[in-house]
Amino acid sequence: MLSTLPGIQGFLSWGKTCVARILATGPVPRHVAFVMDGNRRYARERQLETREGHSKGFESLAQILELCYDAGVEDVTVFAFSIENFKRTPREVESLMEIAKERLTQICESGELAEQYGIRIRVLGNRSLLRKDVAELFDKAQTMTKGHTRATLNICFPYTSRDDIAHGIRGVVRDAEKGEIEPADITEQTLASHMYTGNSPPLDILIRTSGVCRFSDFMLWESHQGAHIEFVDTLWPDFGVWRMLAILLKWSWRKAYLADQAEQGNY
Amino acid sequence: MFTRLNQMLYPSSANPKFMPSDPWSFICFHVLHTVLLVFHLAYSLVHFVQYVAHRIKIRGLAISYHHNRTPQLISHDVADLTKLPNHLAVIVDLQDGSEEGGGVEGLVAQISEIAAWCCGTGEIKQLSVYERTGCLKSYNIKDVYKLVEEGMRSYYGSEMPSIKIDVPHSGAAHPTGESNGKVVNRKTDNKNDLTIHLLSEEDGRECLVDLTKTLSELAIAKKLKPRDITVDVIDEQMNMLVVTEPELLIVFGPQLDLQGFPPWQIRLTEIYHQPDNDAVTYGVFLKALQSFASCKQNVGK
Repeated sequence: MLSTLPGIQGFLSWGKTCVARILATGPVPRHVAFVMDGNRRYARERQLETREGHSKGFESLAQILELCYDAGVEDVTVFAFSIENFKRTPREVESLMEIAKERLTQICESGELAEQYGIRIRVLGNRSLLRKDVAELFDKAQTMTKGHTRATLNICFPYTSRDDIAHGIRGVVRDAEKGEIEPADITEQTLASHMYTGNSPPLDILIRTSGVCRFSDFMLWESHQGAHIEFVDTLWPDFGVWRMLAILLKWSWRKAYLADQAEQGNY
Repeated sequence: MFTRLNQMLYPSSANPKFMPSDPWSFICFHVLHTVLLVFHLAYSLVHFVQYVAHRIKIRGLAISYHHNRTPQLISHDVADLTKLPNHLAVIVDLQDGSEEGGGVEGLVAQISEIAAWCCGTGEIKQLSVYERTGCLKSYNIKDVYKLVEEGMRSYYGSEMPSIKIDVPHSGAAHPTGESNGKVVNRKTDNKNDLTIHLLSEEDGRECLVDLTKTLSELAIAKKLKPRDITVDVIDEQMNMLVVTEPELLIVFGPQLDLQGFPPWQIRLTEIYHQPDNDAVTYGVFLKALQSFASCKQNVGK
């Protein structure tokens, strides 16, 4: 009801930018990851097409990305497609691929997010499992935004964390085989730098929506140590910017006042 | 003068990259930062209210569920649950040794309590206990076994279930099943009612790094090709070197923090956490089992 008042939308959007700017003056997480669960349930509950649910989800994502970058977050990682998702019906896999292609084209061409925020797009995951045309489009998006340095959007597609760890281990073993590193010199950092997220700062916050309390093979290595984990009950399309602001504020508060605990490695 | 004031007033917790460079942005920054401090103050109040609410809930749990050290009561409490985990993991914190129920003794007491509850459910066959520092691992496993058994005896008396404790990292286990070559009781050999795995930080990333080292040496010796290192190969190794994947993980600390729990093993694990809880209690244990029974697993779908 309130939202029908003239000018209120503009006021709200100005308000959220302001809050983001305010948050940016304190401790800010460098890397936030999302499991955007609940698009399909959202569609089912409202008797919409699954496709529309995904589409609502994307709108929600665009707003939240804007907010994160306004607040000074450097890296945002989203779980767009799991390797396990290939188990879905061919029709839905097909439709998800099409949506991904569409969205990526949208991001690159309209250039809103990418240009305005200087966002670099990186696609993380097992490229060999992708259809050729999708893989090519991903490459194009990555090259186009390569020069942007302000912030990064990591799109995990198709990804699982175990596949990532295995990929990391293979990379290190290859280096060792070539004599570039002695087996005895291999450390946690060596392994971490060979993973898909190797170029990103350490993960600070992991958010999963729709009340599911598990990782489902996402960012296991990144989130089991030092990351703040939020399991949220709302479905992803309903997960709004204000909810996100509350989480950022909570993190900022913890970082500023529970600092002594953080130093012990468990905050 | 400006630079010094700027550096003096800039909050240490904020990102140094965003330090204002001219007087105008300096003023803007401090106006906004003051608002942030007001926000923090407001959040402190919210946090306090939440804390009180959580504590009341935990208190309520303690009143409504009690085991009275009777296994029958525990099995009655879980009778209505549609499913129970076969493998349960818990994260416990080492409390300050000078306080009551703290230190290594307190930790062992907690483990024996949880073990007793697990046996009471009749379904849980494996219990992985994660304590970050691994302080228990420096003790003789037989002594730990004795203490855990003693604690469980207050529940089971003469009908003690058979338990086994193993420490994956050192390879120690008790009972081993073949002490001095004499055949031990079959019951304690294969069919333990409960196997307790003691885990700590070294079973996490460190274990994966060690595996990488071993695989690298094999590759250098031409006994293995890098492309043969698949998820299945690593999984098999991790199951052998540490533990298999638990179905439910209960975090008994005030904050949802995995503290370095083995990452490979939490792929689909259901995680239960009671905010602001600071003790290992039966109420939280039961709540976790209830929430596990009501969740739906659909991999990828």
